[in-house]
Amino acid sequence: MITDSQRFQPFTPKPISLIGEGGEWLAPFAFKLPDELLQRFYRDMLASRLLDERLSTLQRLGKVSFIAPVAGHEAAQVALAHAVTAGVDWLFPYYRDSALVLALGIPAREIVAQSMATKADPNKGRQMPAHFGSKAINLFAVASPIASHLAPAVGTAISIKLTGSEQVVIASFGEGATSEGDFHAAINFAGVQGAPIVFVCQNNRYAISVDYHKQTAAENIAAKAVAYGMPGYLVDGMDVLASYFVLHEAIARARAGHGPALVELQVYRYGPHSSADDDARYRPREEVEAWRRRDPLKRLARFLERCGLISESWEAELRAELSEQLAQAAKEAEAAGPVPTDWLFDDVYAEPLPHLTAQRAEL
Amino acid sequence: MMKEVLLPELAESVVEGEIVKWLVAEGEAVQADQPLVEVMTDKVTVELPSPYAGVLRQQLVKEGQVVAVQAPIALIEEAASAEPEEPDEGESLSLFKPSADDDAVPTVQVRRAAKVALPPQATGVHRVLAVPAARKLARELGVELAQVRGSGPHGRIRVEDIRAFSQALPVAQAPSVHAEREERLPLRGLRRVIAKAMLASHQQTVRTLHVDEADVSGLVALRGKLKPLAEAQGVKLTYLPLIMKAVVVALRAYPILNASLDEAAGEIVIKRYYNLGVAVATEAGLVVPVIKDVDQKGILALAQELSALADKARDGKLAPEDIKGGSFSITNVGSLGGLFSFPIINVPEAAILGVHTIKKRPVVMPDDSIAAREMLYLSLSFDHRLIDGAEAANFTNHLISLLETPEALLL
Amino acid sequence: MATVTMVQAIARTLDEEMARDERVVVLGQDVGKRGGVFLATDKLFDKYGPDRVIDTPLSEAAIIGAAVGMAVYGLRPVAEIQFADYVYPGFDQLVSQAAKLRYRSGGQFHAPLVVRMPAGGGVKGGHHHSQSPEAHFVHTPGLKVVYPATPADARGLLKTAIRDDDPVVVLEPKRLYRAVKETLPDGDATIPLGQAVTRRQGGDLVMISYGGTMSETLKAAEALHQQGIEATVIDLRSLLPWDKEAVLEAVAQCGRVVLINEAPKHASFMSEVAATISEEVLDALEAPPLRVSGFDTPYPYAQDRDYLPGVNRILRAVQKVLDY
Repeated sequence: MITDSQRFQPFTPKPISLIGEGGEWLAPFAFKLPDELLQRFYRDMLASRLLDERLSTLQRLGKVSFIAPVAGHEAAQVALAHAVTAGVDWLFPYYRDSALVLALGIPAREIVAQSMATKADPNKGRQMPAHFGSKAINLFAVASPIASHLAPAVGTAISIKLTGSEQVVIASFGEGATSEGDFHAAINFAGVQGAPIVFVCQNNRYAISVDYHKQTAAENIAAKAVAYGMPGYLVDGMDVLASYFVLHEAIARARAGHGPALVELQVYRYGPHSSADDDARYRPREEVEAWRRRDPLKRLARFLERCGLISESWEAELRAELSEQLAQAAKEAEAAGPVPTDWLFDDVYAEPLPHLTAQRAEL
Repeated sequence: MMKEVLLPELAESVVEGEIVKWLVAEGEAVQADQPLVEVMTDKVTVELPSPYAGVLRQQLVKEGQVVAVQAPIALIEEAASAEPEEPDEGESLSLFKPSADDDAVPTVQVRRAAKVALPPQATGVHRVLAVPAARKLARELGVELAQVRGSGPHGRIRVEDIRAFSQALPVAQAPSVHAEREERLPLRGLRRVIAKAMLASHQQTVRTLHVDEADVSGLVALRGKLKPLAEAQGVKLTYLPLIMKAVVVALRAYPILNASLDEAAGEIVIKRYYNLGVAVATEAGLVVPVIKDVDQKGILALAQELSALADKARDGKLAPEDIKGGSFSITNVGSLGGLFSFPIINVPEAAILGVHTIKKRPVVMPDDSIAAREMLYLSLSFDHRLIDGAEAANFTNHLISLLETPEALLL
Repeated sequence: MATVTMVQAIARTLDEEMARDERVVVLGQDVGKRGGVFLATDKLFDKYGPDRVIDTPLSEAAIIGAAVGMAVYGLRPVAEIQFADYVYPGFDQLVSQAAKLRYRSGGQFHAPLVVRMPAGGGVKGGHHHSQSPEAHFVHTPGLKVVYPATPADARGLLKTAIRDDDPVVVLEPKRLYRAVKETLPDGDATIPLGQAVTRRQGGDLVMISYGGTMSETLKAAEALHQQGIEATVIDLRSLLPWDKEAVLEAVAQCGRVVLINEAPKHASFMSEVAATISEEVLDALEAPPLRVSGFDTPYPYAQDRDYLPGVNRILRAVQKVLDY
């Protein structure tokens, strides 16, 4: 444990918040972040919100077969994007991390192209929507089986430790993933090895329709870290600054060789699990509305107001600019055209095996 | 330009949706992405955004109606000053809409093998069993599988069976330089059947010949006495009925001559009935009608039946049951001459007796005198798989003693 | 070169490869200090230390999953699963992560890893120490699978597997681990994947096998030789890819083939071989391709030796094929 520069305590009874709902600074320490970064946070969160809406439109137009809405998670994921060193650190995301991916600098065109399976997808249109991957920023390609990416994340972290590099690994997942055996296998191994990995759990209280209390009897996810010999931080994931500061500290610890941590970001998913889900079946509208009033964008906006860093016109211009960019990105993604049918046979192995070459002729 | 709005596939396995509420009236202007209509599926209820900007000219589906995914639900007249259209000629580049060049379902051609004409005896055989390599070899050699006798279980044809068969086949004759001095007749009908049957018999049996002679002077005398008695009853009496009766007695004494080999079961079947086939020459060829239960019929009855069957045969009117079920055969080529012969066994029988001309010949008698006696050559072909030479000889000796002393038949 | 058992050859190979390429690391339960429960990683810990020979917690998911993460980062991990019967908790990592990584990422990521596991019965191990689960792996596109039967082949194939850029599952017939000693060939002696070897030549029929049952197959071939029947015996040794050409050529020569393996018969890998033979050389066949396999039961304890296809069962199948 880093004791002298450590600001945040693990295993707090309540989630760590740094800004209140009214935008007021709550923390006891003095706050110092560049204005550009704070405005950047807002920009990235708004861009994610708008991308989410655009993907939803595209889905209802029949251009995208499936979406996993991220609205409500923006603060958590944008904070994470800024807490890592993009292009250096490794990320093992899950299917709802579109805000994270966008904020890390991946062009929206690629994200939309992956959802449309067009040639602009660096993953060659191989997977269903929301399963992104990018070597450019060491972002491991998403696989559907929940929590299956966690052990590989640990393997990469162990490799970083063995080779003496100063990279850090982030593994991102929902609270449902913590019930899978793979979660235990991975985080246990990470603890034993002291690997430089931060496990980031976005607890949005629902695994599709199964609410938190059916998922685990633990008080919260962060508490589970005790079992693995590492600190577990309970954070208000709707608060971008709390998320950013805690993640930053956990990542710095890991980078300095003090081992892994588990950071729980408590968020709320405004949309259904996916475009194939009807959330009215399992949660009351009032609950969703109540959380809407705690919109992370609004909370940050109020904080920025107090800092004099935001105005209606600035916001409106930003919104128009981002909408235009996203519309353009969607157009480009679509214009790239569907992936050729015979790409079906590539990349199974480094070199195609004879039976695949024979099967290609059957197309 | 009028554009069609189709109901998209809103979630996996959704095939239809109900139009709940139109959010834009007919004749009203609408912008791109503006909510156009509320649709309910069994998974979700959503507002569909308008894909086009312009004027909603027609709501094609009423509220409350259910339509299939991809069905048209509205017509929008696109504004002339609308955003420059994507280069897709009005069709949204949905990757989940069937495109015009989706493969048409190909027609499957079924190759029906030409029906093989099976010869009459082979009716009842539906499929020939043969291993793939045998089939291929048969194709290559032009061998008809139905002609080949399979050595495997259930008559399965093996490669070696094809080879054996093809080696027995005559080599195809090269076209002759003397073609104009040759006449070619198609091998058809009874001739073809006989050709196959003869070959099959030749290949399947181990045909062995036993020849002997009988002094039938007594038989000749007996027939001389019986002939007018028979004619008085309207029956023409030849030697054959008498010979058949003698054969039956001899077969009783040596039953192995009245048997057949069941290869599939690995058993020799000895028959306790006496159905004698009698070869009849017809214009078309030789046929062998069978007289059933010879042991139970009198001489006159036999003579009548022989006569009737011979007529039927010559008229080409024999039915399948007339030529089936024989246990032993007799062939009488005596009328045409010849000393003795080597008849072909009528498979699946074990033996066949060839009976020749009764001729007067000088014979050395027991007292060394030479007399002119009525002599008859007998040629017995037997299948050496079942019958050994000793049995063949014993049978023949017994037969001869009966023919030489025909009164013994009364016993 | 040395004369060694199969398991010694494996330990040697790991040593050679770790010396040759510093990216190669070994991980698994008991592989470090103990040198592996079968001594397959003997002495590696002393030579290469805990950074390259890693004793893992008891979790096949962690072992195989971590191997994926290491391979993605640029190392060449060789993971050991203690018994093939225990691969299942880590099966998802193999099938969902390792096998599909290159494909789902459009070639951006790939996982050059090796998962080694002792497999097969005949060791009084019962249900969970005797399985031969290769069918699960050959049915997963993206994986490669090898199953050697001799010390030299274990060495040659393991080397190639380690140097291969795709995930390779290596099944090692544990009942042959110490059964036979072989002098290893000099030099690098790698064996390419997808290349079978003909162990015996004969014109009357073909017998094909791999792994532990190679031993019984060769005994059966010798018994046939004593009776004047000569068999060609092919050791597939590589299952995905497998040497289709060699098999089809041999079967086309004589039209009779018996396929021998110890895994349960139903939907075994030999079913694939039989189907391929029927599809591609049907006209050469004088008898159906017959499979002689383990029974379709969980692997029994008391009847261990009866379960395995022994010489008698093989010869009965040979008789059927010759009689057909």
